[in-house]
Amino acid sequence: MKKFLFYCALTILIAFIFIGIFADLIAPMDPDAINMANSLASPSAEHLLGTDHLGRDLLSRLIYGSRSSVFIAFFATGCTLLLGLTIGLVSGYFGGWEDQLIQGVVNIFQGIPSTAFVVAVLGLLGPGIKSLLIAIVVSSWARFSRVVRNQVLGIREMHYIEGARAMGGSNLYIIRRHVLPNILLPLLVLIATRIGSTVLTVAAMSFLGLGLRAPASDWGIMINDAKLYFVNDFRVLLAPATCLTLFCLSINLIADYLRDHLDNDADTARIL
Amino acid sequence: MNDTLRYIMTKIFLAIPILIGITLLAFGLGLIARGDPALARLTVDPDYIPTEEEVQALREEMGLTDPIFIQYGRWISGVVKGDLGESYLDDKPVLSEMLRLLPNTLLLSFMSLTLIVVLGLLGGILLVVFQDRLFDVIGRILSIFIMSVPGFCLAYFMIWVFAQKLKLLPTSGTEPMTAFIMPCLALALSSACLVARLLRSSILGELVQDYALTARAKGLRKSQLVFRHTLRNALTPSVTHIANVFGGFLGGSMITESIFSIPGIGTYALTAINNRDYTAIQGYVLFTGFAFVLVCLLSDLICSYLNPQIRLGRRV
Repeated sequence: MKKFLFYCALTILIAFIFIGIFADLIAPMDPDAINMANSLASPSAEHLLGTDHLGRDLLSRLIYGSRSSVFIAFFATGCTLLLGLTIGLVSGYFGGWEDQLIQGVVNIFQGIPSTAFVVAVLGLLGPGIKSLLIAIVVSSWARFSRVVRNQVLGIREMHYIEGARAMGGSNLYIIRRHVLPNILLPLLVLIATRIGSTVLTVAAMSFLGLGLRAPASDWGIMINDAKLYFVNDFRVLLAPATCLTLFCLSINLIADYLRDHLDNDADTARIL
Repeated sequence: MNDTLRYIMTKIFLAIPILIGITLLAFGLGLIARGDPALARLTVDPDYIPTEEEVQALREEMGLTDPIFIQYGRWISGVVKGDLGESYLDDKPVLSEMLRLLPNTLLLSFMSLTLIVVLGLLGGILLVVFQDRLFDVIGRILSIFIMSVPGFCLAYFMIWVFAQKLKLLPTSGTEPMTAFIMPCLALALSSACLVARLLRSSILGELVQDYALTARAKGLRKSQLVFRHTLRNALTPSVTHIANVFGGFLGGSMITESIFSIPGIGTYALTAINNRDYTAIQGYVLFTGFAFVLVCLLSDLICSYLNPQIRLGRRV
């Protein structure tokens, strides 16, 4: 049962990624083509999901929306991972006063709520997608580096590391060939949950007008556009909301499955 | 008792650098963002162009030429006295504005907290009691589904159903009290489901421990085992998570408050960001940061009460 759900979720996620990549080929219409005469039209052969308040094709906007949502999420998580991984590796592998210092900074960053960070960064740099990305990375690298460090601390004491060092392997070589492969699998759970929450943050901020700006096609913006019209025509709200929910659901199911199968680390398990 | 006291002291001591970090973040934000206040003050009158000497004189008068840490000291002593500065937008003091809006946010936060605690604990225990039976399977699938619905989608869905179709609840505002039902549900439902799942997995984790096996060997029923023995130990991760969520609520939830037009801390911050009102943002960061840290501190103390092993320094 769990396996079945996992494969379903994986299929959905991959489908979203493919739709995002090939948005140009799949989308039946230009997502920004305005046609006021045909606004809020019901689904028809021409517009499979109907049109929004400006007469734009809803399906095309959804398809382009998955491009922006999915790619921002993966990009932001990638940046966070890179930063957290590097800092966590250095901190855990080399130890000493650097470790103490880094852990102090990590403690402070983890103590500050992420909303405060997001608001501070957005307030400082002004609303926009670039500042949103920075805000996400700044507010979430600490958790990654903490998890990486704890993993590395355990691996560092293993005999095979000692063996590699005895054979004359440099630090970089040991990290690349022996430490990294061993921590990546447990990290997957954390990466999956982060992608899910990043999609939500981006959609929420775009919804508030602090991330992507209209007329861009993004699920958050579509929901924001829909808020004046959903009373009469619930379809304009339901379409982006379903996509968002489906995406989060697939991420949650994947993370759940991975956690059951790979993860024994109490620190990562506590997230969910 | 001595250990307990030492544990509490350590926790408070560890919170201090975090609080200082938050003040630095807030101060740095104001420092980078504000531009040159002396120039800004002198150019209020558009017809008057100040000379460089005048600007310099005012800078010194306002203390802007002092080293940064002295400026920080001056700012922090103002903050301690409750002076967070005045909003750029309407010249109202930031602190009193936030205090005026706080009751709405507090009410929403505490109602959501209650909902999360009740639904989360009840759900978690029920899932354990009916483990691997139909209720458990359906409950887990349902909860992961609810967890995946973003709060603002849920909010609009509820508005559509309860306010537009059934006309049961008001869509916005703070009066009457029933207006708080939907925002509260939008905030709390997904966290409640998460807590239920978390509690379920941590109780199941405790049930395989040796002491639970002993209790079972003595012939206790499963419900007794859960309530008398494992629940208290298993609560710790849930309490930590609830504290994290609640700490976030206290900072105001920008989305829920703006959807339901509740004038609270979150909408205040949203207006401040959109208008680049740096003093207000500064005050907001400071306020949310402090609220969050204090709530987390409280949750650490609750956890140490629930599980004395924590305060005795043993990793659990």
